[in-house]
Amino acid sequence: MGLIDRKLPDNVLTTTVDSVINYCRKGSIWPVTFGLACCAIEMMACGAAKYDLDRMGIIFRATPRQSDLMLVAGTVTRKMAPVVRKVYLQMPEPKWVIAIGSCATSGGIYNTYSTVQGVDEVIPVDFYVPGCPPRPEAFFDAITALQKKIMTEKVVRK
Amino acid sequence: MTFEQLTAKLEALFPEKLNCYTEFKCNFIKVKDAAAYKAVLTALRDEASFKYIVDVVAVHWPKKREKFELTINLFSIQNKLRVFVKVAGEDNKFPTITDIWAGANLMEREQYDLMGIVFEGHPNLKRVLLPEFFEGHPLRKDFPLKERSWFNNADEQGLGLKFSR
Amino acid sequence: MINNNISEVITVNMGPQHPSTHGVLRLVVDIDGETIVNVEPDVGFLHRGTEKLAENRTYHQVIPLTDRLDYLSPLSNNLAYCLAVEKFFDVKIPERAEYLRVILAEMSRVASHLVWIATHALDIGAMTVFLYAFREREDILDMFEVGTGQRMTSSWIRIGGIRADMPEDFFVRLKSFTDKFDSCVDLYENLLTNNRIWKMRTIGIGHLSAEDVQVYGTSGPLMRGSGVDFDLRRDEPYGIYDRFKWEIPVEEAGDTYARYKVRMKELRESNKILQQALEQIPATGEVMTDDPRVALPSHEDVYERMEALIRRFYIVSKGFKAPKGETYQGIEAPKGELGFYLVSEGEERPYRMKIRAPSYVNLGALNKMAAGHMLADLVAIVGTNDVVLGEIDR
Ligand code: SF4
Repeated sequence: MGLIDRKLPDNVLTTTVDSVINYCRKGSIWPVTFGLACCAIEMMACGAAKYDLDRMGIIFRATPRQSDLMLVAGTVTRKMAPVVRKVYLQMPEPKWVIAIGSCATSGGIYNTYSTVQGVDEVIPVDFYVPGCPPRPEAFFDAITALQKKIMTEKVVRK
Repeated sequence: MTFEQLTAKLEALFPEKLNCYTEFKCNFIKVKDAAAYKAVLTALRDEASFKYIVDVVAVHWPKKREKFELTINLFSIQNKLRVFVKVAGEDNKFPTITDIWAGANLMEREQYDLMGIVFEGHPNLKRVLLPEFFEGHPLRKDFPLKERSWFNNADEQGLGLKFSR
Repeated sequence: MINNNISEVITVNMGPQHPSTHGVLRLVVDIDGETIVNVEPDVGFLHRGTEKLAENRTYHQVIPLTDRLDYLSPLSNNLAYCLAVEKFFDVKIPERAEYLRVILAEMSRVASHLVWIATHALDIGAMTVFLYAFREREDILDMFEVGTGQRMTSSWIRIGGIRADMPEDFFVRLKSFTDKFDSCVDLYENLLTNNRIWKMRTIGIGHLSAEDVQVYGTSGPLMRGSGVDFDLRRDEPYGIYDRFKWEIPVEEAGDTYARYKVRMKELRESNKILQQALEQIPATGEVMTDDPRVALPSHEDVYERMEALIRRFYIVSKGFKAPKGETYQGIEAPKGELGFYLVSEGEERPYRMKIRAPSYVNLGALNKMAAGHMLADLVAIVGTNDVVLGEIDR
């Protein structure tokens, strides 16, 4: 920092564009509401009083076009799979996906004729949260992990 | 009205056609003559106050001569009595009861979808739980539980999905 | 000049990814202008094959599957299934287990109705109720966690009793919860019952007559909201509900507002049952039957007697055999009549299990309720139906 030492006025920090943008992104993750089954109720509980996702800057949006995170909470069936994919395609870049619950990660207890064995057959997944349903704390763990991942991303030279 | 009284009343109306019995605290009315099936149901609704339709259940018996069996679950709120009307058939065709209870519509569609029972005269008999391109009826005994090869049979939205597991 | 006489029916799609369909319900709506002509529900986006899966599981292994049907009140589903299996054996349930079953089932009803009021109000535009209702629901889930170790899908009610006794803390928390809960319901009612917007959005919307509800087979609050006095807890008693004093709320109007009032009163009545159960419950006692046909032998027995060890091994690895026959048990679940129809061929597995899902049958009356209303009212009508897709699609 020798070159610009004392050339800047007070209260000015130097940093990279990457980290500024990533910092903003990680503080305002807007997930698309995409509750599929039982896990969605725990997802709602996360958003409501007590757990309160809002304090992390997370606001559920009803439309994929305003969202950058997709929380797949629940069982994905063959009939639902194209819809999951379509909603994912409608989200603008950059976008992340968290698969919540054993159903979304691997099919869970439903090894049957109509259940897709893991949502990663349909869309790429960043984080898997095990549990049936996972506790809200597990959600937060996934979200903090995602925030760490966002900080490592390269915005400018993509 | 108790089940005994109901039995006596129905026996008088449909002699030799019914077999009424109680098993595990449930009251069953087996209609032996399939032709009388709808008449029995109508009589139950109009003359014995069984106005509330609870459910339609189909069972597949591949080893028996009468391969399909329907059970209509009815409740009389007035008499606090529940009966199960049973009818069996060699093939999968049964008359619809949507004209007696409008609510049977969705119940029959479900049994058509999962069990392949064709309800003759049903206004809108098509799949309800599974997608249109699904073939077969999963609740039949010869359908394997983990049969997922049909996943790639169609690409409804043109998204190029491929399922491998 | 605008010609008002043009009538053209167009079809719009609602769902399956829609914030107010409570999951993955898809509605195909024919509208003429803003008026609904016809609604056709397209369900099955969550069809997981529970009934087929149950045919391949032993009687004990089916219990976790029932949790995931109506996931707003998992313990009610456990109860219905276990009662149905117990009908095969005519088992005697220990006294303390009977009380704990009632407590768990009524707590589930409260939890389920709280989610209903939260989402129903949120759909219509009252966000505050959502936050308050979930606050109380968290209390219930915490109690479940204290007692069973799981917040939602605990599979705690087993064939022949319940899994294990509840710790002291559970009863302490439940006592303080029941003491304060009436005032919580007052709070929700303060926000909604005389709220002008709420009344405008619900009164006269989604009407069903007393005749309709029986013909369509809609049960639960939909039936009681239309003036039919019917509750399986009283009319086909199961468990020990005959020992409690409570009222069955009935409203004559048959619209969304009437059903709202029925459910709000049910919250209070469930609370009454909980209070009485807490007073009457015996202080100690077994919570699992010792009937060797269904229950696992106790650990002390297993360590000392060879037969008990073999029996335990047999039940765990192979399951127990149910007698040949068919049976049905329906209970008054939060959504209506939830029933399990079991066909047994004398094997360890059910030959056929049919779930009578209240939401699925209630959905059959959707078109009757919605036709003629505005498109915006459809959200209120779906909400008052209290649909849970896990149960509809199974
Ligand atoms: S993981 Fe469990 S709780 Fe979550 S959707 Fe699947 S069955 Fe339901």
